[in-house]
Amino acid sequence: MSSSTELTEKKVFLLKSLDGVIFEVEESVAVQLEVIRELIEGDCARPFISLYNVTSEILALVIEYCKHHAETCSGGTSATIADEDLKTFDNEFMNVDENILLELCSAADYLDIKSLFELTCRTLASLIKDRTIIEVRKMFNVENDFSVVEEKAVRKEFAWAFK
Amino acid sequence: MSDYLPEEVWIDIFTRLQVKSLLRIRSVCKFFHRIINNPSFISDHITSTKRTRIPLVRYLTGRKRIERKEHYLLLPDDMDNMQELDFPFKSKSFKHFRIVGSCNGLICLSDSKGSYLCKGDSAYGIILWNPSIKKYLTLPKPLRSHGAYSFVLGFGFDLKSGSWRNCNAGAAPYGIWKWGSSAYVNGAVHWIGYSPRTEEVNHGQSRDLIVSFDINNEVFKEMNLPDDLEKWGLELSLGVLGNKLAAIQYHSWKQRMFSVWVMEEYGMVESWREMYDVDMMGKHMKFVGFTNNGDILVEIASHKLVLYDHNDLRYINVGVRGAKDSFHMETYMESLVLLDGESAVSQSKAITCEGEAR
Repeated sequence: MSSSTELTEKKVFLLKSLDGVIFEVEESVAVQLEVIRELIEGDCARPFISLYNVTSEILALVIEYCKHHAETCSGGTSATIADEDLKTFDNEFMNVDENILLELCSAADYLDIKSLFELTCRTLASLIKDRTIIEVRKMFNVENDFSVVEEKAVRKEFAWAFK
Repeated sequence: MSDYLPEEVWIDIFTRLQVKSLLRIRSVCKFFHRIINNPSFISDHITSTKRTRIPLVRYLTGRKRIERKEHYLLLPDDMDNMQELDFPFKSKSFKHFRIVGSCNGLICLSDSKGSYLCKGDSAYGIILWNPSIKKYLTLPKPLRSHGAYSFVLGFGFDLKSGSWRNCNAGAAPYGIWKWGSSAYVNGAVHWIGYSPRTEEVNHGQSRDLIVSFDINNEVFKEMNLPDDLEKWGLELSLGVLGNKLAAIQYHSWKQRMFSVWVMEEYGMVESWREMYDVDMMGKHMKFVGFTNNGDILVEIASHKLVLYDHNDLRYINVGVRGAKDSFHMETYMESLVLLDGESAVSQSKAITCEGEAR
């Protein structure tokens, strides 16, 4: 317990990914992960936190995102400039492979990072919106479990929506 | 796929999609199909703050009966992107359907021989129509259970129970001016009405007021009009401005002018506020409705639809011309309600209230 207090005072946390890579993050970054903020507020935060659902590749991205947001928000710039900056950063940040995007969304859900969850959901929705059914299946690696007859019936009900 | 995201995350993503995209991706897989068809998803999709509400204007064109066509036009804030909805129905009455109201993506239409349903009129029926998914449902004709009294229709949604059910409220203890418009605000339908004449109250004088019907608890209530309007019920229309109840007064007696009043705090009579006046510049005009930013749409004498910009005090021609008194406005939003209704896709034959195509 004493070592925990010591490290909390230093405001540094060690986050361990699913594949065993350890990331050192400052408290201002860590608290953006709601799961960790709750641990800190409940005084249950250990200096070493294992995140079982997130790979190192994704965790590195998540930390990059939280770092940028923490720095921008505390940087003393005016709110409008900070907003613009975050918007630009978010747009670039979302310019990733679709699989990565899905994993980021899943990680944001698991780690409870509201702004990243909102951002990834919004981006996924805009990617889905104009795709054909076959493209959506491919994008999410979804198996078509309708029979030929069933799929035909489902499509036929709103045939005009496919035009 | 499900390895990646849990069901509630898919729901969150799907609530951001337009209805047309959702109708398509239902056929991706059974999992998507089940999520989108789920009534709780349909209601999340409606309440999602990302849904936009757009003014919808109805008008009639064509002089001869055979040429008559009802138009339903969406008017977004930038008037350049007006979009006409497919209207698959045909009124059996002498002109057009009466629009009872619009709520959660459904438009309630009633078909009757007269302009209004009253005793002696032959009512053909009531349709609930969802244009965004092209589905509809016909409702049974209203029952004439209250003897010699006529009746008015209202359309709204129970905010608390969130489900469809039977209402059996009985007769309103007030008179309701039949020609007047109704307004759905705060879970209740509102009409302009008048109190019964009794010697004890008002010395036998009838008083104009707002009659509301709360859809959740099925109770009629009265609400006072601002003092200035109390005697002018016959000159009033009701509308919804923002999410607030509004009363529009047409000063025919004095000068040609509209006054727009808003009830700032719902139910608080002292919160009625006169927002602005519209000078009709000596012309005949008829109130049609409010746009999202509080401007008003009026029908002018040449049967054109005109937008009055109340900030710049100028009139803008919308570019729509329709038959006299056929203009009506509701606020519309997309929704998936009535997903299992009847198909209302425009075909060569139009659909009537009785379901028969002709």
